[in-house]
Amino acid sequence: MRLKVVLLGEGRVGKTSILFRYIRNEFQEKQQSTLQASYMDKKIKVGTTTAQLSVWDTAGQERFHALGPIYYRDADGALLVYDITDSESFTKVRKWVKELRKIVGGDINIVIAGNKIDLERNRQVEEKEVLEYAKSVGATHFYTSAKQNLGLEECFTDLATKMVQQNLTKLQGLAGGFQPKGGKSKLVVVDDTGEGKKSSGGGGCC
Amino acid sequence: MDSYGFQNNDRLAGDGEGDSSSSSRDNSTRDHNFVRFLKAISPPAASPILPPLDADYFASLTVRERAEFEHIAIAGFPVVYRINVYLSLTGGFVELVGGGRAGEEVDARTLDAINRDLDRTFPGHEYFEEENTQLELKRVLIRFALLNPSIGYCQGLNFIAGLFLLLTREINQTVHLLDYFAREIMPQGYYSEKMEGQYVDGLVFEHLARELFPKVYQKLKTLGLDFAISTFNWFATGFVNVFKDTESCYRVWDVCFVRKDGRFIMRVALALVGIMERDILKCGERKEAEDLFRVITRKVDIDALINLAEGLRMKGSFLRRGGDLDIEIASLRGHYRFKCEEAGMWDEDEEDK
Repeated sequence: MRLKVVLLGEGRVGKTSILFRYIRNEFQEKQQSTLQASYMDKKIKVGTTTAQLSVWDTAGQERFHALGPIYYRDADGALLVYDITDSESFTKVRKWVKELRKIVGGDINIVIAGNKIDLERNRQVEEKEVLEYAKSVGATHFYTSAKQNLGLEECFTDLATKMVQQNLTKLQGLAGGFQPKGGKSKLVVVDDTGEGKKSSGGGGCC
Repeated sequence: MDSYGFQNNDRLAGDGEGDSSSSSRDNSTRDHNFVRFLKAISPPAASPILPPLDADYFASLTVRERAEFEHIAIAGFPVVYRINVYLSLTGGFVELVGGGRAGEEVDARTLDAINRDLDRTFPGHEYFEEENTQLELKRVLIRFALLNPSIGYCQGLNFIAGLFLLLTREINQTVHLLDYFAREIMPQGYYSEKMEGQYVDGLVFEHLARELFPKVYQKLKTLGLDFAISTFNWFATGFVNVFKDTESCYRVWDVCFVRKDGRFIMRVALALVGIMERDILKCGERKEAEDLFRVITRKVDIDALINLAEGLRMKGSFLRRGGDLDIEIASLRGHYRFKCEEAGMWDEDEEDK
């Protein structure tokens, strides 16, 4: 199962650092600002399912949202990153949630990451506010530190679990549609990708 | 490290693929031609050292001299003269730029965006790590924002400004060159709030890749590669941080400055696709092709690339129209911009949809 995750959030909150820490276990103290959208892959096991995560990273500035749809349109999940020492960056999380819901729809799984938890002493974003907000939009929240490698495994595992579950449910749903009487073969679904998309799945096949 | 002090490696381009040691090429013939040309069009200099080129040094060139000068640009300007040529060609010696007058302040949002990038512009480079350099870069970007309120600050401008600052080591001239680059060399709306110029160029690039390299185009489409995403930073910065050395980027800019036009950037992008043709056709999956796009720029020989880019022509039925790629680029930019506008892509009320 291939799953696409996009890292979203204001500039310099640590998206690129999260990507490199999570996938390659590397960290650079001085990270150049990111312009190009790029991704790295990682295999992750959820229950009995092995999923291939493609984690996408891109520029954080808000205006790049204008180019966003080509980048996040077919995403299964989004990790919205803010910096706990930067209150402005948390307001951007709210914007992202709205935008994703508007363009991708309610289907996309969202996890929020409060990054740079190693700088707890400089915290500017109130925990209570964050947790209430996350709950209100149905997202899980994690604290992370790319620098100290904290919380990332948990964060991605949670997101992956949600995405895998959603995908399995979808597959079952599709298979169910074609197998009204508790059939056996889920592979029937494959036929659906052919021509007769318009024909109402009712009596068409076989 | 290259001759400008950059460790120009790409963490994503794969291990050891990036050749960051620039080959020390022999530019003596090229530099000699440049000097000979300058001497020919100016009164004989008393000393063997040429004076700095002043404002209208190139303004009075004849058509033939212009053509020769373009050839010189294609070969690349001598490093020591480059900044003088840029300033001279753009009126940078006389035109004092406005912006940043006492009392003028940039809005908080722009300032915040600028501040986020100052120490993330070429980190690890000795000059850009200096606090003073970062302060100068800040002044440059603020003044640019004041000059261009419709742009403010857009990520990517920091890198372009950085490469100008590295040459000028001076704020006024850097502001001037950055402003010129964003306004005259790059198409309209490259750095604006909607970044529509970059979006359009993504479409133009894909269109031309299809016309010029149909087999490659087909293959990339089959693999599912996204043209705009794979080449985003080529266009966004005019190839800053893309090649194996910084000189290669300036070489592309040399041609743009002489022509006062950035269509050469599109040509170079297309030429890169051409160079990758055989490798792309061998790709088994998307990731391989995407990696090629990252790696090719770290390997390519800039002279070969520039010559190839310069020689690109439209094919087939386009030959009737002269086959001129530059004309086609301009016309496609207009075409796609119109189509996007017609589709309401950049309308203010997205909610209406």
